[in-house]
Amino acid sequence: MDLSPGEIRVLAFLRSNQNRKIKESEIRIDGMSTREISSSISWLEAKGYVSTSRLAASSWKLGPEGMNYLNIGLPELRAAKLMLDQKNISLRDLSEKIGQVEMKIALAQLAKYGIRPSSGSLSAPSNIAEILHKIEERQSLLGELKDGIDDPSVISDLRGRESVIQEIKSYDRTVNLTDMGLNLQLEQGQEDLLGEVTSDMLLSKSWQGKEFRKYDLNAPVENTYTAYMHPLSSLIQKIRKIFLEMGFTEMPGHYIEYTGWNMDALFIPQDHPARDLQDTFYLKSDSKPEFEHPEILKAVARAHERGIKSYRGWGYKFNMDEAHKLVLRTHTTVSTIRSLYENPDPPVALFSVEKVFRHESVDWKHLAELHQVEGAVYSKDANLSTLKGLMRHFYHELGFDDLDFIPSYYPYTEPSMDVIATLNGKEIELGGSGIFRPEVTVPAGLKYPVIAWGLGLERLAMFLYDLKDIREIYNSDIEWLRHFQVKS
Amino acid sequence: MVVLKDQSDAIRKRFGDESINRWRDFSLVIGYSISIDQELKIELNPDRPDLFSFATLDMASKVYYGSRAGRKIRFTRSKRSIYFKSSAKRLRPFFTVFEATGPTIGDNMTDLIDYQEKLHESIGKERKKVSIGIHDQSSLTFPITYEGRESKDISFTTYDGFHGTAAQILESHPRGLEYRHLISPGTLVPIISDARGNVLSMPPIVNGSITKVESDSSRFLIDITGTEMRPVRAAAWMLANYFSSLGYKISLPEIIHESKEKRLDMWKESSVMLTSGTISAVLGVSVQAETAIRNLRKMDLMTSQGEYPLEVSIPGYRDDIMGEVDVIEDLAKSMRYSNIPEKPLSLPLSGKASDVNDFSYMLRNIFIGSGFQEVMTYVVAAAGIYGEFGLHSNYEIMNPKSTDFSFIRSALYPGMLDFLKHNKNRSIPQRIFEIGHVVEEDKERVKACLMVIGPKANYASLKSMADAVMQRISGTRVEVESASIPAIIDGRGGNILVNGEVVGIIGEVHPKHLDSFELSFPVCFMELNLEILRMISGH
Repeated sequence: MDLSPGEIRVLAFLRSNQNRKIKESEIRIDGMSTREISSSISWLEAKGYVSTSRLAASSWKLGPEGMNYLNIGLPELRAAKLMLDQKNISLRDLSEKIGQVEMKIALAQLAKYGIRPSSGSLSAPSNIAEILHKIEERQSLLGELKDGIDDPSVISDLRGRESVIQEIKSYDRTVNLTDMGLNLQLEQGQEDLLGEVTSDMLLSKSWQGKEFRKYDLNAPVENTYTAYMHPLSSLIQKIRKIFLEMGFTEMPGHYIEYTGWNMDALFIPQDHPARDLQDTFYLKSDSKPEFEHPEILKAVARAHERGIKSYRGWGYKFNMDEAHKLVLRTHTTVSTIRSLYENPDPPVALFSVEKVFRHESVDWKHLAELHQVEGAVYSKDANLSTLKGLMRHFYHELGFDDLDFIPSYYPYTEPSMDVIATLNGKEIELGGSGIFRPEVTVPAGLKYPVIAWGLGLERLAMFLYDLKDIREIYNSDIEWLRHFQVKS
Repeated sequence: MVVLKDQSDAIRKRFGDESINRWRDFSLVIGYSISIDQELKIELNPDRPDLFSFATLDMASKVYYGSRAGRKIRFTRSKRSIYFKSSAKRLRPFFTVFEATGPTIGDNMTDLIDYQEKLHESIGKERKKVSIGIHDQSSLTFPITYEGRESKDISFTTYDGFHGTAAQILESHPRGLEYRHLISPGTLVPIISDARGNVLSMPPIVNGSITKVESDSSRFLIDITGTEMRPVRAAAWMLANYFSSLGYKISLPEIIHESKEKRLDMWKESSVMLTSGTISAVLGVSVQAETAIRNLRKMDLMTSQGEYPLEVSIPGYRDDIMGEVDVIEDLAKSMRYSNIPEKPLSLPLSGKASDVNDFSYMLRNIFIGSGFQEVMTYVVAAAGIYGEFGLHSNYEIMNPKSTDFSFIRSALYPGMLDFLKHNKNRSIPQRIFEIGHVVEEDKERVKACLMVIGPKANYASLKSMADAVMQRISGTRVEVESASIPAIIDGRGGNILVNGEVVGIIGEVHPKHLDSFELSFPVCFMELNLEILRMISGH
């Protein structure tokens, strides 16, 4: 197994050591920081060349009071010196000389040597010089503690005096060289192999005549997050490309529509359930957007009331107010009929992939808004046979070849057809299609039939990306967006 | 979708062992879905109310597969008579009745009542346009009268045992409360009663108890009343078709009209002329007259014999047929869609993309190239997250489904902050963007928003991004003019200007908003108007 230069150096250090066991904190290698050493040990352990066991350790350093005593002397030292000088000193004098608080500390510490006040004063015992010597040793310990020490026996005298000395808990590891680590054949000069290519190396040409260390090519690496399009954008891009290659023109549209265009122009009867408050978002507004091409309503109303040619119509009195309600568009077929009304010279092929709105309760399989893929062809050759051919072509481009064509129903198409696909043993309803009814085309001034089809993009995305909850497309987990496998 | 369901065993008992397999194949002809388990469930499109019962669906399938000849309902004239008074005509102007005589209704009772209810809901528009009364004929005495009566003067017992005047029934009976709004204002109510004064029904509210249908009933009188001719006719035909499918004989009592107005015979069939030209125009293939005749007969549509044009008789229960293309769809269904050839459609056209969408994909590339992940958020979202930034909409949704989906967004950044909230436990930094439509004032616009959350998400980093984006698309840098924007910390953001024109906003989100979105790292964003950007950049 390949080792990094750091790992090789640490392993070499361990093998040069007499003992197979050493504390991590005792390993010193020139040019390696403790962090690099620690990281190398972890890798060596992962590769089996060393084993480690954690151990808790303490060290000590001076606290704020200790720093002060280092300069002015411990209270007991200063008291003992006064006693040596004066033989007898009153507590009042002592308090004045070294301070009230320090005097209390001094009394407590001197008590350990049998020196106790009597009748308000301290008297020096016969062995005062010996005691003073011991206290001076203690004082000199403060100097050592300044840099920190880790031998607990040394500081036994100062233990418990928390503001004088502070304990620093740290964690260390013992590092054991395993047999594998001991016996590994370190290639001669492996330490000298080149690591990362650096600018210095290139400028100085120091790489010349040397070898590059080989990497463990499958060692764990850090995560990279690639940014990408949203899965729907990616799908829309693919679908737009299919349409454009087929010769279709992308048409405009808008979210807010009048029912006159969204429903009436498509011969959806004015009492149709799809126009209920339970199916469509109705809007209230002080500003009235323009009703585009209002002249069409006359012909639309006639088609509803009396039909066209031999078609009987709905037979009711057309209600103009009902045609002037504002809604969030329920389909983009409204864009198709309006675009055709504006451009009635055949052949015309139109598409859009835009958002439509449904009055649905949002749950794991329903959204109140979704992208509708809309395609339409206005041509004298638009008929059920060419509709089937077109669906075959379009869905093949999208990756579906196993198709079933099933009769269906839409208020504005006749015949109507659903396309159902099977992919990897799973069935998916791709979408509806049909040929516009004459009651739709004639009032719009169209002389030939119109093929139209639609497809809900979110359901397709749910199928392609194997989503369990359709809401995940919008309320996405960013982890999914960072990692999803692109399907186009 | 309309749903029919029953226990599969019960279906086999009533319609025979082979019925379910036949219905399954027939589903591909008509285009309904069928799931067969212990329970049988059929979901139908709304255009064929004549198939909304097991009895009529079964008969249609038998005719298709030829086990029953295509047939017409044979109507006979009944000697009994019914008076249709002008007082009723003013209240609920369209009215017809028929009699059905045959076997006891037995196990089909539930199916019959379900069918009646489905017709009330669909073509009846919750009884507004049509209501149907089904009566056991054995306990009534002809002649029958349909008239308007004073609601305080007429009293009867309802089918479920409530006794009172018509006025009291409208006031207190559940059906009265539910449907009384359908009765014209005034003191008169429509009443159908027999020669002895027994009330059969008060349409469209409730039936009387005298003629209540039981499972051993075998002689029925059906009244259909309504406000529009066409649905009343369709409902009458659909019920006649129902009884006929179960082997009942249908007879029509004489209706004696008080009014002298011109009237149409509801029981007369209409017809549609079918030409070979329209067939090949709609289907893309020509169909021989003989083939068309045979296939339409399988769909229970009788035609004239011989060559085109063919006259196709449309029974009144096929209310969905409005003209020639409807008959042609039936022809295609009968021939099966799978047998219609697939033909290529050559389009001598070159595709053209929308400029705005092409521009937005170019921006996507720039944003993604700068390490921003695209997200999508809802257009219709919770009003609360917009209100907090002082954003309002000129368009109010009158019928929101819930407060979470009640507001048409007028900016992108609130939804994106909500996205960050949703991902607050994921690793940071998160660099996201969205390109989408908003409705601002009264105009729909396309906007792009870039947003960063993380310890280093500050104004400078986004300003640098704004400069870089603008450099790419217009070769210029941006200037920012200080502006007071509720989302943004005062003095840490404002309007983005390019050549003196405002193209968007930029800034650091104020902590009070971060707090309400439960975010514990700084957020910075910019939101750009694509139309203005596109104009400036000349794309």
